[in-house]
Amino acid sequence: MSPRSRGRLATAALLCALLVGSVALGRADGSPNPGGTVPSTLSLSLSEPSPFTRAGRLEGQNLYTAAIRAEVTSSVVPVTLSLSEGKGETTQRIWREPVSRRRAKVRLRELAPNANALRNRSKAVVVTLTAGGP
Amino acid sequence: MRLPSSRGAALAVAIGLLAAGVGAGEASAADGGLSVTPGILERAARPGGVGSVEIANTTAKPMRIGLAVRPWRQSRSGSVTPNRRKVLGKVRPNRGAFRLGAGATRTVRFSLARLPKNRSLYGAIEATGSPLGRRGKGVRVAYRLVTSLRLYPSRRAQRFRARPRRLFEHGTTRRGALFLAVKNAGNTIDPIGARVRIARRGRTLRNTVAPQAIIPGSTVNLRLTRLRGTLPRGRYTVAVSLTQKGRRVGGVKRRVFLR
Repeated sequence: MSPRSRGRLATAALLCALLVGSVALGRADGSPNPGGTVPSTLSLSLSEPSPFTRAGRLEGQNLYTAAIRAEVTSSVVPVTLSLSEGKGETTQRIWREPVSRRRAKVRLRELAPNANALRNRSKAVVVTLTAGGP
Repeated sequence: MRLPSSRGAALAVAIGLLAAGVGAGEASAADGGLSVTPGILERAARPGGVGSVEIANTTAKPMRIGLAVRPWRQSRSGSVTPNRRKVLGKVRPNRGAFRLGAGATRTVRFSLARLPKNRSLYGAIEATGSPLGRRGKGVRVAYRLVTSLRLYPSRRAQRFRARPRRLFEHGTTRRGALFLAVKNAGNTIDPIGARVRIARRGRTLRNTVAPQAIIPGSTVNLRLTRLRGTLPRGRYTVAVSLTQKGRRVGGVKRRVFLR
């Protein structure tokens, strides 16, 4: 095979492969046209909380803080990351643009007389991710 | 372009196939969590099926999933949160609670029992995920993902209620703001904006208020302008022209004394 015909064969293969790729993307939303749409997704990943460390004193007790690492994906805006700890809900972060695997820290606060008392407690928290408004 | 021999052809095929696969690869979650697709469920309001959402647990632990459709609660400042004390009874998921295994995905369908009075419905779909199999001391972390449900009316009614006596000043002319309470009496969530003119002899201040979505039935205090000492104390005529989707939909005029 001559170098010229090899080149033509390679170009034809590239075009074929790109065509296959476009058709595959077009099929994803069931439309016959090449191209594609990806449905909006809301995704939240959370790590295990870090150990509590003493951060100071408040109301005559020791204040301990810990953090949960969060990873957020949302194509719908605004995106609000908040934390519910029993009584109230505190907003931790707001994004006004779409985010993809954006990292953030959710901070936990706990008052305790000492670290031992903290270790014997059980606590339930809910990390909320809200996308868009009404 | 000249590619060498059959190696070039193989490379080209690989590039094409990679291009086809990129879309699918990006959609997957990172290293474990909870995801809901789509982020907004929107359809025309019709009794029967209104769509479905896909819930995926990408963690290494099974989760207990709870689903609820709640009404939005809008404060006078305009901020919106799901009302966790209520559920929208007219929209129901086919499964309200279930166990979702590690790495599993489940599709939940929603149906509208009957059309609401104003022929539209806006709510929040709340998916809560609690990891199973962990008891005892320490911090237990649960997930809550809130997405939007929008069931649009077949016939749009863009109505609002704004009365002159609901135009008020908060603070002073040095440090304050001017507000107008606007109630959405229609059935759309098309944002409502305003153009404002505050005038007295020799002094005029104009402002454009950024459009804000108001839930049907809710009242929001639109901030017409901030007062930062640009206007002296005195009596002014405030003319507000309300706009929706760039179209004038009404207005309010009042003489107010700015302190």
